[in-house]
Amino acid sequence: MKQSSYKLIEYTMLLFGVIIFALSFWQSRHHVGQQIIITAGAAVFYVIWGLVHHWMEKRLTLEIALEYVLMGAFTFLLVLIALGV
Amino acid sequence: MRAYLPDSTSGIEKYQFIYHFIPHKEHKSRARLLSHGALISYSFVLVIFAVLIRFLPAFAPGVLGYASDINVSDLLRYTNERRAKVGLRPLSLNKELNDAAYKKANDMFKVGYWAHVSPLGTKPWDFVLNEGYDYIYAGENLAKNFSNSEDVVQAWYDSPTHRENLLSPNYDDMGFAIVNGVLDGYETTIVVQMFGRLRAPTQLAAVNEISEGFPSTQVPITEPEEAVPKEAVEVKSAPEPALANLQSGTLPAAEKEKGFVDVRAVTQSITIVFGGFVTALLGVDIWYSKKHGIFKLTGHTLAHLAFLLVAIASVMLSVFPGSVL
Repeated sequence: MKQSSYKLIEYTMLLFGVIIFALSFWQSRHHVGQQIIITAGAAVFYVIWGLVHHWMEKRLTLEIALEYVLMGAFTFLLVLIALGV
Repeated sequence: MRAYLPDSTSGIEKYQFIYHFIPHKEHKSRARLLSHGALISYSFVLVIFAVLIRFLPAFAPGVLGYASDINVSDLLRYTNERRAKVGLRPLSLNKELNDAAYKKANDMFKVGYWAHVSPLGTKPWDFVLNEGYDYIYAGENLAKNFSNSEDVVQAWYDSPTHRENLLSPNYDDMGFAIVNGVLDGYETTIVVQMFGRLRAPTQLAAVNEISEGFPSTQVPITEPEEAVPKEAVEVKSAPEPALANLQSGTLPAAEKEKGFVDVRAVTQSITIVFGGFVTALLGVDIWYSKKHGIFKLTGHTLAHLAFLLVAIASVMLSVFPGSVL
């Protein structure tokens, strides 16, 4: 499979991931506990997506892995604050 | 302080400070405010805020709270509008159910619980019967921390079990209480909605208790148990809704509490400030890197931006601090 096909699949997966996150988050809008779990799941998904993406591009480094972990954690905390938890 | 770079550097790039906000051409790195250290710092500050919001009420009850603008006439109107849409007759405001709802709300603040049944075992129906409302059907919906009447009714409507009460053909009457007080350390507004239908002398009573594990059941009417002692309750409550006021549309709202920090406003502001700041930096990173052809060995900036933007948008559209029971 061509590199461009891999990329298309990767970005489609990311797009689906964030859309599913947004829809599930909306669906659970009156259930804070569910929203926390959904956000945690989305953050983990994002970190894994980043790691796979860079691994497939053969440029995964510890620094890049840490960047995805930090971005996932930051976003999770941001939502947690908004939920008033 | 002003530092100079080689002669080839011009414009804003000659100011080192600008590299806090834009990527560095020579270093091929992100803006310093997007570095790992910066992200750790933001996360740390967010954790501090989360801890503060979570534990401050335990040490200083009533300092944090939820501002609200809820009133009985709107709750009544929105409820009956929902019923009208499915062809059900409107419910009437009933004084006994208003009183029962008011006493239930006060009991929650006084005893300190958020449930249909109090830790002392007092059930919603005890309040209803104590007010002399002899029901054949009864139901109760609860809500707290909402900012307006429409959101309260919408949240009940979105919950299948609460919607069952809102749209039940078994009820004739309805009562509301909107009471302010301190619950779990937070200044908050509790809304109690009681439903009922008076029974004919020979009928058995049924209650529709909206709570998981408490399906609607047929129960024989019993003498109401002794309610918890009616001591002075430290709540700032709305006056009991008077039926006489209904016609004039001046049913009271809960008193608007002053002097506490609105949790909703604080948390949303923090989210917007921090999220907006990092989003803007990521946007600048994409634009500036493309403009100057900077290739950085970092994570995917566009992916970060997309993920963060979706999270912020979700927070703006889908976070309602209120909860129903």
